Amino acid sequence: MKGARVARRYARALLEVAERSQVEAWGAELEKLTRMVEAPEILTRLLSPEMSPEARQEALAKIAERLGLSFPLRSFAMVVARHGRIAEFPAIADAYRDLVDDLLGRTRATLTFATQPSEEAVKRVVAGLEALAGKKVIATVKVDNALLGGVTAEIGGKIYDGSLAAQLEEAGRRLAG
Amino acid sequence: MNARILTGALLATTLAPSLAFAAEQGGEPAGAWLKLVFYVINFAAFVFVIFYYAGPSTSNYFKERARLIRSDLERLEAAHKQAEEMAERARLRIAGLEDELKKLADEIARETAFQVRKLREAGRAGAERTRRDAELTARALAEDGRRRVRAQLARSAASMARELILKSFEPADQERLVEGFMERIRSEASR
Repeated sequence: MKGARVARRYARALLEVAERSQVEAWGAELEKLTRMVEAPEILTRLLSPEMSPEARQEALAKIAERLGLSFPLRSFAMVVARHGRIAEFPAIADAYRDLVDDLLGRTRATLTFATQPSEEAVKRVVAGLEALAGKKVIATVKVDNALLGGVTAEIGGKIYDGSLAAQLEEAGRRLAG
Repeated sequence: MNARILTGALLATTLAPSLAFAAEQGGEPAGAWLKLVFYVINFAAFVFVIFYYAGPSTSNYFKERARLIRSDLERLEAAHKQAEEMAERARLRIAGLEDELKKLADEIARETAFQVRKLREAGRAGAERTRRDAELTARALAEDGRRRVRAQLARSAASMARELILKSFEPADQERLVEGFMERIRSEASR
């Protein structure tokens, strides 16, 4: 919980210095850096107690340079490393993404289908969710055979379950009394 | 007291020989009277000596004896009185004891009746509780059995339904399910 608060603070600080036109690009750069940093072989080395703070910052600077990050993102990465918060990068990236979504009036949803859906089916569901949320919805689509049939949507911490597995389970519960 | 005794003794010694002398029908009148006087004087001297020497101690003896007898009498009277008082007290106590025994017996009878009533009530309550517990247990067992059967039926039905779905699920079914889901989302959105 404390980590999430800290991550949100860093994310807000980054968003505050970004111009409206830059927020998405910086978000993408932050995602790229996070994916690199959270790779186990790199994260283990960066967090190793054998590594001095200076060496750690230097390593992170090299990673940022190799990824071709913009100057503000490189500086931000240095600040995070200097404060010993390298392990918080994934949480910071999530918090930044949520803040940007809020800023741009959009939300994210995870759609899980029982079978590979058609593009048209995904669009229909996304349109329905946008009407429900009153925001633009960025959907992540997954397929899970265990649903047997139908679809589930997770949006804003709420789950809408239209799967056959859930209906079967409900029927079983009613039958069992 | 001493004077009366002395007078009595003198009269006796004076008259008794004259009576004896008369019974013997006289004798020599002059010699006999002298002898008598001699005897009287002799006897008087004897009496005087006796009284002079033995009188005080005899008197003291009898006085002491009388005092002792009186003292014994008083003591015995006191003892008698005390014994009577003790007897009276014992009588009263025995009378009280009888009352006490009667009270105790009544109390024991009352307590016994109460305990018997209480035991009977406890027995009845215990039996009622046991009956209720048995009923509850039986009901719970029956309900548990029903629930198990229902759960087993539900599991079997779910398993069969799952197999059926896996065998015969068509894309059109998926379309219908997605449409149903959309209906639900639309109804949520319109609220």
